[in-house]
Amino acid sequence: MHLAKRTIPVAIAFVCGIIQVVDYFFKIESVNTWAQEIRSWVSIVAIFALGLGAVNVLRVHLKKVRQAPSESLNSILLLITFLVTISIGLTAGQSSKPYKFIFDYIIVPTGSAIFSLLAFYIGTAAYRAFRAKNAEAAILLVTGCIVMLGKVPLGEKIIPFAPKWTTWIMEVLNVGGQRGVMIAGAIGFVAVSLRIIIGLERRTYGVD
Amino acid sequence: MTFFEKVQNLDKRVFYLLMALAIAIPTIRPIGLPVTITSPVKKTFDFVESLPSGSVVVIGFDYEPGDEIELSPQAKALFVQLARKKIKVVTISSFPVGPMFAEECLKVLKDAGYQYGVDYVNLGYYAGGESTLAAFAKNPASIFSKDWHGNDVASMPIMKEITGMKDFAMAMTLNDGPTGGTGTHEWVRQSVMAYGTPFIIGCTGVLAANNMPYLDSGQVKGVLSGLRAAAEYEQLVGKLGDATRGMDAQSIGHVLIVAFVLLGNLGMLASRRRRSAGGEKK
Repeated sequence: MHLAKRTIPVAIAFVCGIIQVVDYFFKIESVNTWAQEIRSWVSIVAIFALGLGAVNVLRVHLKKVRQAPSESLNSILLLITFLVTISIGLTAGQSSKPYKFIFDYIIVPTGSAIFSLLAFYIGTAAYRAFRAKNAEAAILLVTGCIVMLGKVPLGEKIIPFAPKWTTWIMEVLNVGGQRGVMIAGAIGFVAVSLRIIIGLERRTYGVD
Repeated sequence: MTFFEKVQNLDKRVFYLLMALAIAIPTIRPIGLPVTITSPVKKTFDFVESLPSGSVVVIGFDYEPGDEIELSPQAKALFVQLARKKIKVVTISSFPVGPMFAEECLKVLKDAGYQYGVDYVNLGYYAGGESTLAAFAKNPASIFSKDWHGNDVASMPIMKEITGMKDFAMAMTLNDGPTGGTGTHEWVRQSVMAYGTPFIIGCTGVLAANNMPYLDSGQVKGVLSGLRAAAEYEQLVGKLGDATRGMDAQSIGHVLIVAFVLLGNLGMLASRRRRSAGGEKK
């Protein structure tokens, strides 16, 4: 069991990881070819994962409908739309009129509508939580307001210097902070990658 | 409850109603506020302008429906410029819905007389994020043997010019973040760092802060962030569209939020002053 659950996955990760690293830094034809082959496998594995996800969604919602049909309206709707979209995609194709209808008149409007609700939630959250209770909060408040006004033409009319200050905040203050975060994140990323390659990151292999 | 306490705790439905009106009215009756051009957008425009006519660029449609309103207008404005310069376009996507957005935006090229398979191609969706993008960068044919419409990619004249990322005059991603797709950092690693291909980022407004360091360091040639950048780009290419119309609604929305934040703070300050004055009296 240990061999299948831990040793083989670690060995696969080690070989694949080392090949990718060597491929990036050196021009060795055989290694470059293997690395490209492995990257193509990733695409295939990801497609299988996508299929697995779809099957899982079906299983979860079918179970819900079977257990409590009267309380599973959302699951029933999900299953219907799921099956209709897949059937049309498979039979008529993604460029077909019915599929495009689903995309243009159902997927895009609902996706945009849900996302646009953020404007309302963020607005009320900012109104309730954005209070200058101390110096740090006051700095954040003033900076946030300048950037919000500097990003829109009407804000520019109200405070003419807002765009200039916004550019300075974004290109000086923000870049300095972000650069630190990105470099620290990258170092952490390298460390975690090394731990995964040599098998120290146990959670990656499904071991707690 | 005093007036100041009321101001601090207005019913959120009042805000919802005002916000709905602030967005709906300018969308129905645009005001046409002028948009000034910012330096990241001008840099992007100037770089695209410097590309040789007839070269090929690759553009990633890495976003989902929620961010379509910010990113599709960027793509359409950019395509107007690419069409004028007769630059060929290859599109790919790390989201299943991405090719549909690409198809919609590519109509700009079709209307400009571009021929499918010769001047532009929509290769479609790829799974696997950065690893697959890396494989595409090394050898596009290893990932896409068929395009999004099911045509054979190898036989297309446009793809005969391309053996890898190094052959593209420019790479670009229209990106709403790394969740579920290929993010901007991954694109930088696989285009700029690995092959030195000039790169441009088109991202949502909230991602602007994350991507500005790349522009400052010179690793990317330009950053377009949010609807504002799209509106500026529409002005630069001289074809106003959805982004310019949307800016009016965004303008009033932002001002409304700032006004409410200031109102809440004024209420808080006034209540504090009132409380401390009351305390002194006691």
